[in-house]
Amino acid sequence: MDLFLKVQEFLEKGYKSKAMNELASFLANNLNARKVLIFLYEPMRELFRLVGASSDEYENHIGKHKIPLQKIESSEGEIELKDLGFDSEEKGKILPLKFGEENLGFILAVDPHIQNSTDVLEKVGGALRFLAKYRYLEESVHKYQLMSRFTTLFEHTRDLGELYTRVLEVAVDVLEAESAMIWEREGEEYVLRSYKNLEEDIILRRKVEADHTFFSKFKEGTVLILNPDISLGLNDLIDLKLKSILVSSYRANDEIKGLFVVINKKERKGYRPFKKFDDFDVSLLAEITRRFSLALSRLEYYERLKEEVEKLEELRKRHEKLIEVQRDQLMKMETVYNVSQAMRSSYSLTNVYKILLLGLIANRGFNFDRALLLLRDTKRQVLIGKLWVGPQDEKEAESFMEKMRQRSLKYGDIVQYFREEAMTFDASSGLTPKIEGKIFHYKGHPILERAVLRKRIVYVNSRIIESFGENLRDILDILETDEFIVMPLVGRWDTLGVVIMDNRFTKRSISDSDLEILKLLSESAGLAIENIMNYEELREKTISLERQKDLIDYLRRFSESILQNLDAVVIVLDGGGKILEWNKKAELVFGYPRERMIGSRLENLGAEFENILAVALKVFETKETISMANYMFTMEREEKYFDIRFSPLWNPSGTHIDGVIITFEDVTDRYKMEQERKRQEKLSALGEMAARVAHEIRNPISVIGGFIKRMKKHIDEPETLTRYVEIVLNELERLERIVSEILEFSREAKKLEYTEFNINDLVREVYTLFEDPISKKNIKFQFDTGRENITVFADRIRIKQVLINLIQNAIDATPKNGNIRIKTEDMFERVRVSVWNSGSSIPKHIQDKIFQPFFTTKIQGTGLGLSICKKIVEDEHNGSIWVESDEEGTSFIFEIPKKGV
Amino acid sequence: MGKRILIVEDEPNMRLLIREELEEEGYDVEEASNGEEALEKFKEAEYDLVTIDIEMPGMNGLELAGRIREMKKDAKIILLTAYSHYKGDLSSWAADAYIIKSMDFQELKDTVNKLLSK
Repeated sequence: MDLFLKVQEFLEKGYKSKAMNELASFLANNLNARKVLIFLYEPMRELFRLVGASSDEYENHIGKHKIPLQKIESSEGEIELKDLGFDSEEKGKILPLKFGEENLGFILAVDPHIQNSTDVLEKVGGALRFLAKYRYLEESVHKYQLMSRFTTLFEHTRDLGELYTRVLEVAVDVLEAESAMIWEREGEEYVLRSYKNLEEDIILRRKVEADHTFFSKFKEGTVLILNPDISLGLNDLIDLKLKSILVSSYRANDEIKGLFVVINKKERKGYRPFKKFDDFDVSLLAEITRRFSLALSRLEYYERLKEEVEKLEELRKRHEKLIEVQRDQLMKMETVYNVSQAMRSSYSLTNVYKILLLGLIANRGFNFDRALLLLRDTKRQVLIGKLWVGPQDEKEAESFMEKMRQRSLKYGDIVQYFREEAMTFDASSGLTPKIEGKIFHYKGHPILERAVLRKRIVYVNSRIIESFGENLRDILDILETDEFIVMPLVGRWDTLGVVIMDNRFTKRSISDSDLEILKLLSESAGLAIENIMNYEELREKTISLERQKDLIDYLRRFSESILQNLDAVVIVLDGGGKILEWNKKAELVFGYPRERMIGSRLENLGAEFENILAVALKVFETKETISMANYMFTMEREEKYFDIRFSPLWNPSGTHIDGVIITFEDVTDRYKMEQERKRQEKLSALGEMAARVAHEIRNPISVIGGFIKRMKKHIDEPETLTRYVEIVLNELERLERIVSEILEFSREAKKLEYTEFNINDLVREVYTLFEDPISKKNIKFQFDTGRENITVFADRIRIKQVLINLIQNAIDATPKNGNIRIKTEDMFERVRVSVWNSGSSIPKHIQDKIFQPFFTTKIQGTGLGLSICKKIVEDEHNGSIWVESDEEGTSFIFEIPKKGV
Repeated sequence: MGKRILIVEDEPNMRLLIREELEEEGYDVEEASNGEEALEKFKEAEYDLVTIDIEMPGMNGLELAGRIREMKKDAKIILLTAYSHYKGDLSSWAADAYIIKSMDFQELKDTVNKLLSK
């Protein structure tokens, strides 16, 4: 018999195999004994267990019969079977099974006849010991192999949920456990996060308070509990018979996150003296949770990082979008101006129409796909198709747009491009034939009526089309698109027609800001068309007159007609201020009839005209043309702006002046557009400001902080402290100045408070503020007054601010022993103040930038001083400010109207 | 005799502050209020280290650092600035260290000490 094979069979198959019985029979034979029983020692429990017998009568005891260790130690050699718990009167001899000093069990031999059995017993012991050890090692290797699955798992799992599921799978495999679960701490509770091999109906709770018995027992580390009882509290959570459990804490990012609970060792094949988790399992689980914790930390960190990156990306996109929108708006605003400009510079009505439509579809214009012009016939109350530009269909779209783009690139001046493109562009073919002469009734039409009669820009989309349905059929059949804009062309009195734009091919969406900007175009284009219509009407008249060949009459009427039909107000005054001429436009604009005005006096019309008269009288003195820009009239509570020109009217021989011709050009649109542009510029300047402010205030703050730290160090030295306090105060003042300049620049224009005051008094008052620094630098200060009393009507505080800034700059720029000279001059309707200093000259390229916000050459200061001056003088007081510089020195000069705006 | 440091900084109070902080560390400190003055001083005397403010009127700190490097290849240079966004370009400059101005001058002192291996 091969002892080894028998022992191996037993270890692998357990009690089921009869290998141990066969071994017992073999030994009985060998020892010549009546019976042999084999007991093996279980060190964990300190007992011996019956594993095999040579006789069938013990069949029911095998694997079950146990004998405590003390029993065998105390009885040497012979022992009664009764004493070992068997129902027998026999005696047996105990033959220990050993390997070296290690106790492996014993053999109980009844009536042995061979005394010297050492040899065979050593063989059995050796086989048991060697094979058990071999098996243990083999299993350990297998477990370590399973553990290596972790490494792969942790390296490749990017998903948190998957990590939990997989770690449980591996743990159950490696530890040969029945089941496992993970409880995670969430606030004041523990939550069953994940589990493996647990039936739904045995899970009693999935959430418990953190101070629950079970969780309050475990803080940190890995423990093995061999005989869990009710006091453990685990049976509150799962309804399962517990034999042995392993509990281990795990962490994420340095915090204990929860508990890993592994339940019951699985039933395994073969002979197992110990059926629960052991110390080796404890160290395995400790290793599993350690790696799990690492993976969790890494994943959580990774998740957070991903979130941060996404957030940043989102922010960046939003920011870029904003800038894009703003840039687009500014560009379109400029387009309004360019298109209007081009329209005004043409004298052919057809060309003006073409310029308008091209402006709407050009990529350097509004970039719509198509634009359709319908002109209004007031008598018949219809709109008539006139021109339609754009690609005819999808196929043509790309090449059409590309061709337009190529042509526009040849021009630097966009106005020039619109004009020349209009002349060469053939608008009679293509889309135009589809609509030419086609009639649309606007009365009662849901969209056209709103555009024509209420002068509104109408944006139409699929929702609006749905609600109006069939009533829109006439337009929809032609346009074949469900998103478009109808823009009225608004003239001085009435709507002249409408333009319909769409993006049928490119499907670009139309924004609210587009509509806002189109409002501007709607009016300025209408006015431009009306101007040309007047002009054409005039030309037609001229032609019929020419036919009469009544040249003198024609000329007289022609000039009269020009005068009367001119788009500008024309007023002629004689030397005494009496009105000689008052044209039709003047009637319209000021609302006084010609018959009543001729022969009457201008100043009777109110304060605004008093100024006009004063300037006109000045022309008799200077004999030169005088211009005034953006002069404001308030008419019916609406502000209108005019460019006014005063020209001398010479007598026929050119020897003296008979009168003054005053022309008023309505520039309200232009003026408003300029204001809007200024506002936009300021907005972008404000954006830049945030960054600059951060930098400007950082330096003083560093200095203040640094010295305050030093103060702490030198608290016992009064002299040093005083010096430091001086410096800190100094820097605080500087901080305050920076902050107040920024506030000053960024504040919205507030209502100005106009008072009457003498500008010379104000200059003297400001001078006293600077007496100290001026004398410190030994600067020679000179003040020349034009007239002693120059009264101006302006916001005194704001003008004082201008003087302070200019004089401060002059002092900064003047070297020691230098000169500063201030001069005031009465310029009739304006007052001029110049502040000159003998500092070095300012190069031309810097002069151009000097009034821009944040431009500075100085060491200190925000670079806002001069831009604040410009704002006060030009924006608030309708004046002007500029710089003149040569080798001698530099002057900053400003002029404001004496009588306010 | 202590090691010699030249401070180039246009704002007097900031200059004074850096001077006092470095003198306390036991260095001999000289000052220049702009790039031109700094170059003059650098020609006349030997310095173990130069701290330069980047934002100065006239010749700026970066240009000055380059000029000093031309004159003396192994000059130790520290650049100071109130802007924090320069940091990325540091490698392209001729400086040994780059420090953002703050209330805490410890970083400056540490860097100086390290560069002069005190």
